[in-house]
Amino acid sequence: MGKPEFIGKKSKAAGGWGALKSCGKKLLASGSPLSGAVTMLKANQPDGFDCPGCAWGDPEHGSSFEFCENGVKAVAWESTDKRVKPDFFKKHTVSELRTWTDYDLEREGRLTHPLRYDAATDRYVEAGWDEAFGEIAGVLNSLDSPDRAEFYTSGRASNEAAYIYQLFVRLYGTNNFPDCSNMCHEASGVALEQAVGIGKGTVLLEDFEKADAIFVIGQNPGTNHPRMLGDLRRAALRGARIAVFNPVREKGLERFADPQDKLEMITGGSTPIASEYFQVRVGGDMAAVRGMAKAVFAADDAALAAGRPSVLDRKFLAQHTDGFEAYRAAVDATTWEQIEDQSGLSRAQIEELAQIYIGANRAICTWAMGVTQHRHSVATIREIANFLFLRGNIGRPGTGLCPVRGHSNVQGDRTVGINEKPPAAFLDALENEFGVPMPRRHGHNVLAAIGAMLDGSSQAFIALGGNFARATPDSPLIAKALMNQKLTVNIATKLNHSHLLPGKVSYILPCLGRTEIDRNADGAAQIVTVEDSMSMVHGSGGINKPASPELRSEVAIIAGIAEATVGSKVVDWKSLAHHYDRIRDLIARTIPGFEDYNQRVRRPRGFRLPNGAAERIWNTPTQKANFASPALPEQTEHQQAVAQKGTFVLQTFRSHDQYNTTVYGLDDRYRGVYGERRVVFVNPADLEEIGAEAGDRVDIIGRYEDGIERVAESFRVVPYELPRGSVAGYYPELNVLVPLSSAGELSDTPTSKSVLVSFRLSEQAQAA
Amino acid sequence: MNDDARDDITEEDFLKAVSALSSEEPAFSPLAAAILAALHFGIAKDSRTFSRKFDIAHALVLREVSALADDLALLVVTARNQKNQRTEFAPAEKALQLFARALK
Repeated sequence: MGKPEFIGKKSKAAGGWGALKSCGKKLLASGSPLSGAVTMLKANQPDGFDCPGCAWGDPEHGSSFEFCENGVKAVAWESTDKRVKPDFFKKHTVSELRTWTDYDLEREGRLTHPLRYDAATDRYVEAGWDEAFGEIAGVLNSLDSPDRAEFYTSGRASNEAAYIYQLFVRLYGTNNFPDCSNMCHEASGVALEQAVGIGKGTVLLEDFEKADAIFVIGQNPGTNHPRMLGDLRRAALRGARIAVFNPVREKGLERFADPQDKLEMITGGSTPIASEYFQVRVGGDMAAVRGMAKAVFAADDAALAAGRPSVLDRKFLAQHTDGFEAYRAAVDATTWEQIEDQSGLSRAQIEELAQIYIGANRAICTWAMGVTQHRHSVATIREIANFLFLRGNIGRPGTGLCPVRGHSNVQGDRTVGINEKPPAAFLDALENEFGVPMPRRHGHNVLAAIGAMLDGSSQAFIALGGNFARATPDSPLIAKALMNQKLTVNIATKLNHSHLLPGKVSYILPCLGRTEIDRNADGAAQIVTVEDSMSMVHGSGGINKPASPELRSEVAIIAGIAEATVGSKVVDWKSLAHHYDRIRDLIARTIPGFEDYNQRVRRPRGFRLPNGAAERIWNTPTQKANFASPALPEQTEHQQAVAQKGTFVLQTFRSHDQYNTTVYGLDDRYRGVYGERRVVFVNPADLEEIGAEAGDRVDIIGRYEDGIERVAESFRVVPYELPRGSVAGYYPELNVLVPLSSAGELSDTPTSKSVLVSFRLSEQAQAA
Repeated sequence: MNDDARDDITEEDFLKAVSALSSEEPAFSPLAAAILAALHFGIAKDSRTFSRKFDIAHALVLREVSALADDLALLVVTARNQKNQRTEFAPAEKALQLFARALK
């Protein structure tokens, strides 16, 4: 062995940080021997830790959870010391637990044992894994068609779990894959596939370092993707213009104190994020973007008339796009009156925004649920793409489309086959690999699955994570649908409300969380992989001892159900569960872009999946980037609301102490709400029309006309900075008001951001 | 092991200790040996301090601490901060014996 090189002066160990860091680098230096006896190093593999929170990209993969507030909450929530052991259910019946909030249920801690529902006592009781797999398989195989079972996926599932899940389900014989993306970014996938040939964003994190203008549309990153604020902050600090469109005045988007900036944290300072903040009306984003396009066209006309260069990227438009003239005609046919009324912005404001766009050589548009959960979401996203095409703002550094996904692997799950309408090429590849036919019939998305469960045509529901009953619209209908099932299975880390709506046979199967070390029977630690919003695929290994020795990984649980249900003749499930590299090898052989998966995912930051649109390769029928030319919606829900006295348009959103349906706490500090969740935010000027004062308790009544009475009872009125006619509150509490039958055109996404409602004082308030 | 950090430990001493611990227990990763050496010299008694002083991702340190505590019974976890996962630890009897053998 060579004597270790001494670097620097003799240091005091406790204080010589610089020297110690050099020690650290030595320890992690790849491959070089330290002592000759031990090879460096197990730990240099980039099997870091992927935060189980959001899907924002991670420049220094491995430790982000230390810095992001929501990541910390997610990790702490999962790694709690509290446990829900079988004894817990001796104290509480399922009926009683149904009266608890999800916050209280999850706060009880981690599930430790497989559980089976006992209808006679209305309690869950401990079960064995083999017993569970056998009975689940028995029910599934008793159904007269595989299409009578629904297989739900939460965006938490890793690529490996999702891939073998889809493989099992397709071998079982159906494409019924309702998944959580059906309720969030489905509209983005549909619109982008049409526009640019890939249903994903085109940007990398590095693009945020180069953009001159960033348009943040219908999104609240301060609460939902806090790490994105760091990138926006850095962009703002170097002078990029950040224009925000949001009906709600979100504090986190206005100023941001970076937790990594010690001086800022100590002094209480913060950095302005949005250079322009526009409170667009709910559902008015398409009009706002079209207005900007109209102003850009006007500026272009003026430039050409004055003999100046075009403000459009004429070369890009000619070489790379289809439908430009029709789009120009559609924009010309859209009046400023329509644009102003629908967007709530003035022509002058919109022209100001257009100038920001024209002044930027590189522009990015980002968006999230504020855009995707309307009837016209697909059209709005197409409009955003149109807008970027005008100046060639796609497929070059510092530009692009950026739908910001929610759960950490929601994008990856779709990539590896969780898709009720699988591409033929993918099914062909599976058939080629496994030598058996795959089902070709399109399956059910979330809304279709609920419909089938309600009308009795589906009789089994298996959930790979999530809280289906709370995430979905029309909560009482979902409860009925689940309890109608012959079989319900929930693979979960913690107890939630969906588990308390058991079918005739019902199991809760406790799984490892992402924070936990996943060892196979040989004691080897396994990694899983995930894909972030930027199409980057990276590995993640656990950091903690599992909450219970009884827990199994999601992969192992799916393998167990699969082996019991479809047997191991075609797929050796045990072998796949024993070593996830084998699953990754299958993915590499059946899905383009995953070549050398096991090698590349172990490199720092992993690898990026192919993204044609990011390289100006358009995998569309026209082989071009496609403009869309629809008219604006005849009337948005906001316009309908203001036309009817006493009617408002409700949007549901998260609190700051919440991630999807998981509620970590009862505070919403950016919005100044503490210790409660049953609140409704209203414009102070609307209080008189509502007939309430600040602090009053009101019932919120759904106005969707399908004969179903929808009431959310006893919500406290909180005056807030919203456009008049708009109100807002938290899901899942307000999902009772979201109609199942109101969905996005072409996307089937629930219209959770545009629900017509009215108010009445609650009985409690009336009595007072 | 000292309770307080010794002020006479050089980088060379530290790396020698890592090497000695690794030789004694070939199953150790260098990082695991470094965590033990740092504990022995009083440099870091928790995962986050080790992570920061050695500029190694906290996730990697946590994973090794978990292995040292749960699988090898060399460390006893004494506290964990739920917010940042800082994990405090002390040497188990088995680790003290190891230190006595390897670092004499």
